[in-house]
Amino acid sequence: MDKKFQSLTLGMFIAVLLTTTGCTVVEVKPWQRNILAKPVMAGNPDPALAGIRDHTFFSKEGASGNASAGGGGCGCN
Amino acid sequence: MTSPRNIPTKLFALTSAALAMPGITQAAVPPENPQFGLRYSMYSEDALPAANTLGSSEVDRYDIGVLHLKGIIPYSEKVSFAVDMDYESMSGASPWYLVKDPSSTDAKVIMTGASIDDSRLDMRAAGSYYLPDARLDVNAGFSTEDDYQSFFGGMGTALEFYQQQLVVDMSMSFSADRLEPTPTDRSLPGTDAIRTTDERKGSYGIYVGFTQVVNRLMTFQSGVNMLLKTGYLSDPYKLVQVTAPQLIDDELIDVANTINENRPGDRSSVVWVNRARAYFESYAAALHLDYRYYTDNWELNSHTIDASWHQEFDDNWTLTPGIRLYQQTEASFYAPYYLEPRDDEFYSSDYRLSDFTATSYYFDLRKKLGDVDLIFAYEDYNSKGDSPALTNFMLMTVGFDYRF
Repeated sequence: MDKKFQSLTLGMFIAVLLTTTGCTVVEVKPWQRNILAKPVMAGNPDPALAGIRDHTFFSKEGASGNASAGGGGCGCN
Repeated sequence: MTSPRNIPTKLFALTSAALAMPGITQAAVPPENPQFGLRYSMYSEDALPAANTLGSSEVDRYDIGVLHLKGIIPYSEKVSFAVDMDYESMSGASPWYLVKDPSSTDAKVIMTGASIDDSRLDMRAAGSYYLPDARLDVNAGFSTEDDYQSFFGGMGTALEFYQQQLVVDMSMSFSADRLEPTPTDRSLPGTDAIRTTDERKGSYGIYVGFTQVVNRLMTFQSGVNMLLKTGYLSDPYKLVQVTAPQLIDDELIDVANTINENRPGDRSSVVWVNRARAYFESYAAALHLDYRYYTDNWELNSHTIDASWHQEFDDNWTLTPGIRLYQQTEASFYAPYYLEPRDDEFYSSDYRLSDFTATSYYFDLRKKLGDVDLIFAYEDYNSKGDSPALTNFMLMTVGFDYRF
């Protein structure tokens, strides 16, 4: 395995954890959620495009699966 | 809301469409207006370099055109529906098997020739029922192509707690697939391997996760996805080269044979998914960081990082550059070629089961014009590893969404 890639992956994962778990959860009132309601803050801003991308990755890589249950669908893997 | 970013099958896209609303934690809010969307994608693989084959010239690979249509239909204050359709048109050549280079230990690719010309239709429908602090989803669909039929379905729920501060997601799915590969062409080499003509495959998935509002500018999502596949999990079109001793003129001589690849009949995987969304007011931009860990009983392990910067501009423009880093280890039975038979008789030289890394750079550009959103997206994917069959490709998408 590419050691440089492995280090980069680990580093970015730690950055994700620090970014998120390093923050204290605070109560956010409904009227304070205008930012969270922005399309750019959606978990998936464009599900259709994400579906096309993920189907491509599913067809070309050994790993698959994400934040929903599912399986099957085509003869490409 | 908790819609996925990296979805392994079209089944997930169904759920995604059902949840396609702005805001990450509005699980129990139905869409207000009907919506229609169209995407057209062009997928094109780089030609395989001559050095990776036994020939003297590069070999063209796969091209795919994908038309995607979607509709979201609010039916009442408590019910909405979503439909999705994909039509794929595929042509070109793909790796068939690998052989040992006679003059070295390298593996070389034998391609199928430009023999693939196929199409695939995928239709999905979903319904969602909205309660004061919850949403219930059901979905079903099918995918059909010349040699592969799939019927799938699923159900799920999203439960809101603490005034939508926390959303818990649970879903399950199934898929029943039938493979009917075209018969072996006996005019081609490797025809001592007779292709199967009728096989079945089943898939069953469960996902449990949560989305937490961290503060007014940040959310975090984490979940675990478990998937079990059983039945015929091999690729019926792929061969492997296995060297085995044969008795020739009363003498045992090693002979290289090409036989059908053979993968285990069950595959259970666990996927850990993490997503962070953070908004930077001073830049008018959102940072998305996704991390996925994958492991399965074929001993294939993988890390995926996807990072993107969603920059808002005046006049409703949005530009999103991103990078995706992917790494996987090889399956326990993978080899480019086999110098002796395996005791378990599992063989595959499919590059998708090899040890490799991949980096893709992408961007999308969006413009909101009244009720219409226009989109252009481009992605460049490059992989690196031991298999000479690994692919690089580009994916370009244009489309729009219209809200009635």
